[in-house]
Amino acid sequence: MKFSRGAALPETVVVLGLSLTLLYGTFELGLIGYTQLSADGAAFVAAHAAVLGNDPSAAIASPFPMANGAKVTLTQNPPEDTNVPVDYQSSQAQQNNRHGGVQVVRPSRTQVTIGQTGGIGGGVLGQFDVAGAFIEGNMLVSDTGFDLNGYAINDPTAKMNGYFADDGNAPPYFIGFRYMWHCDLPVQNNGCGHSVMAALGMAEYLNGGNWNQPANGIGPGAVYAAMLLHQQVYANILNNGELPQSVGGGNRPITWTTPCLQTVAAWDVDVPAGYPIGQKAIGFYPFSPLYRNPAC
Amino acid sequence: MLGLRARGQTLPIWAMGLGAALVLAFSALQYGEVLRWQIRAQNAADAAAAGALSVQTSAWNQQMAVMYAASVEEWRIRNLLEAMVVASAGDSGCARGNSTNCQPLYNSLKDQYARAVARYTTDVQLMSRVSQYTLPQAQADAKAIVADFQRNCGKANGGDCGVSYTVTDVRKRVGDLNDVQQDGGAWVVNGIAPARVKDDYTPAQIEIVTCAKVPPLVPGFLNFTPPTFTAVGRAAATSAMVTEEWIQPGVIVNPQTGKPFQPPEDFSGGTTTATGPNGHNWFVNDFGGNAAKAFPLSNAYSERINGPEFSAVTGWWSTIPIKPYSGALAPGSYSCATS
Repeated sequence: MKFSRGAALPETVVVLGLSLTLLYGTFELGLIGYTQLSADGAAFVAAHAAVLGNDPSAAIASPFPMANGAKVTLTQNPPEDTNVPVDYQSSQAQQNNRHGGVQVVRPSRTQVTIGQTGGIGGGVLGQFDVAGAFIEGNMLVSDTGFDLNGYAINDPTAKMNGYFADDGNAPPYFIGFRYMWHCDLPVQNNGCGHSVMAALGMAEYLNGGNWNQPANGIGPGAVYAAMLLHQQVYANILNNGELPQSVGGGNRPITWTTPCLQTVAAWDVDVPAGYPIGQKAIGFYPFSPLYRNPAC
Repeated sequence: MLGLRARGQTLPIWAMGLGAALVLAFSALQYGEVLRWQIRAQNAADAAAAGALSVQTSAWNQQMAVMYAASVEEWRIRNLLEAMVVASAGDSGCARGNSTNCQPLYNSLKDQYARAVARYTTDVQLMSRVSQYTLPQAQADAKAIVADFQRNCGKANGGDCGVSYTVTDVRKRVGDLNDVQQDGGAWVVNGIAPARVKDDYTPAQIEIVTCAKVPPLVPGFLNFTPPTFTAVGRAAATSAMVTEEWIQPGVIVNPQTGKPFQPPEDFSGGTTTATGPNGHNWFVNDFGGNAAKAFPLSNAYSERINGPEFSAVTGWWSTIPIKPYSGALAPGSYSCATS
C-alpha cells in the first residue's frame, strides 16, 4: 500500500501530462486543418467575387466567420502570353507602317491570398499562421483600341480595360476598307483613259446600318439583303449580255453605262487618292449597296 | 483509497479527450465537405453558364467566316470586272501593239468571272442558312444545353451528376452596346450614340443556379442528427467578342506559310504589264494594304490611301463570365438534388 500510494501521484502526473499534451496536439492539428480549409474556401469565394466586381472581404464575411479580420491580399497578374505570332508591326518605331491591329479579351489572373492566424484559446496556448490562395480569370481587354498603344500584344505593361468599359462591347460586326483603282473611262483601243480610287460599297458588312433590318437572312428587307442583290447583279452581267464576245476591232469596249454595270458602279464612292482617312465626319462617303437599276 | 481514486481518473480523461477529439475531427471533416460541395456547385454553375450560349456565339462566328469568304470573292469579282473593262478597251498591258491580242485574256477573264460568281453564289446561299438565328432560338438552345448537361452528367460533354442545374434567366444583354459604323472614308467603333440593334443581334446573357443537398458525413449518433447541407452555386455569362481584329490580309503575313494571307492573284498568268496608276497592273488582283499612322494619345489612326486595300474589321465570339444579375434568388426558383 505504501508503494502504491507513493506511485499514484507521479503516475497521475505523467499520464495526465502525456494525455493533455496529446490532446492539445490533436486539437491543434484539427484546428490547423479547420483553419486551412476556411482559408482555402475563403480564397476561392473572394477571388470569384473580386473578378465579378464584388467586394472580396464582404463576400467571405458571412460564410467564413473564421476569416473575419484575416488579411485579404488581391494581386492582379497579367494574362498568359498568347502565342499567335501575327505581325501587325506594332512597335513604337513602326507606328507609321501599321497594317491593322488586334485586341483580345483575355483573363488576367486575379490572385487572392487569405492569411489567417489561429490557435487554441485565441493563440494563447500557441499560435499558427495559414494561407489560402486562389487564382481566377478576370476578363479584361488587352491592347485596347486595336493595339493603339503601340505595345506588343504580350506586353504586361499594356493598358487593359474591363470588357464593358471598352469599345469591344458591341453587337457582332464585320466592316472594312476596300479601296480599288476603278477605270471609269475606258477608251477604245487605248485602254483606260481615266481612273479613280474607289471605295467599294460591297455587300459584306454588318454594322449599325443593318442590325435593325426587320428580317434575318438574305431576302428583301433582311440583314444581308445586299448580298443576294449583289449576287443577282453579278450574275445578270453575264446573263444579260453586258459583256461582249470579242474585243478590239469594231467592238465597243465595256462601259459602266449598261444597267447592271451602272448598278455596280453606283454602289461605290470615289475617294481622292492620297486623302487621309479619319479627317472627315462619318457619313461623308456613304455607300449605296442596296441600289439597283430597274433594268438590271 | 487514494491509489484506487488515482487509477480511476485516467479513463474519464481519456474518454473525454477522445470524444472531444472525435467531435473536432468530425467537425473539421464536415466543414471540409461543406466547402468541397460549395466549390463543386460553383464550378458546375460557372461551366454551365460558359457553355450555354455557345450556339449563339457559334452562329455569329459562322456569319463572320462566311462574310470574310464572300467579301474576298466579291473583291475578286470587282477586280475581274475592272480587268475585263480594260482588256475590252485593248489596254496596252495586254495588247502588245494590237488590241485584238487581248482577246485570249478577255476570254479567260470571262471564264474566271463566271467561276467567281458561282463561288459567290455558294457563299450567299451559305449565308442564307447561317443567318436565320434568333434570340428565342438562343434562349431555347441555352436551356437545351443545360438540360443536356444534366442528362449526360458524368459522360463526355456532360455536367456534374451531383448537382441540379436550373436556368433562372436567359435574355438579351441589358445595357447600351457600342455602335459600329462604316462608310467610304472611315469606320468607327464606339460611336457617339449607342447602337440600335434588334434582339436577334444583341448578345445574350444567362444566369444559372446549381444546387445539391449534401447529407452529413456521419448520419447521426446518440440523439444527435447532423443537418443536411445545401450547396448552391450561381453563375452568369454573356456572349462577347473576345478578339477584335483589323487585318489587311494582303500585307499581314500568315505565320504558317510565311506569305501574306491573301497574296496577289495574277489573272493573266504573268503575260501582262502594268499600265495603271502608280504602277498598278489591271490584270493582277492585289489585296494591297495601306500603312496607317497611329496617334496613341488621341486613340486614333490616320491612313493615307496610296493604293488598293482590302481590309476587314471583325472579331470572334465566345462567352465571358459576368456578375449574376437577377437579384436575390426566390425560394423554389431552382431545383435541388440530393447528392
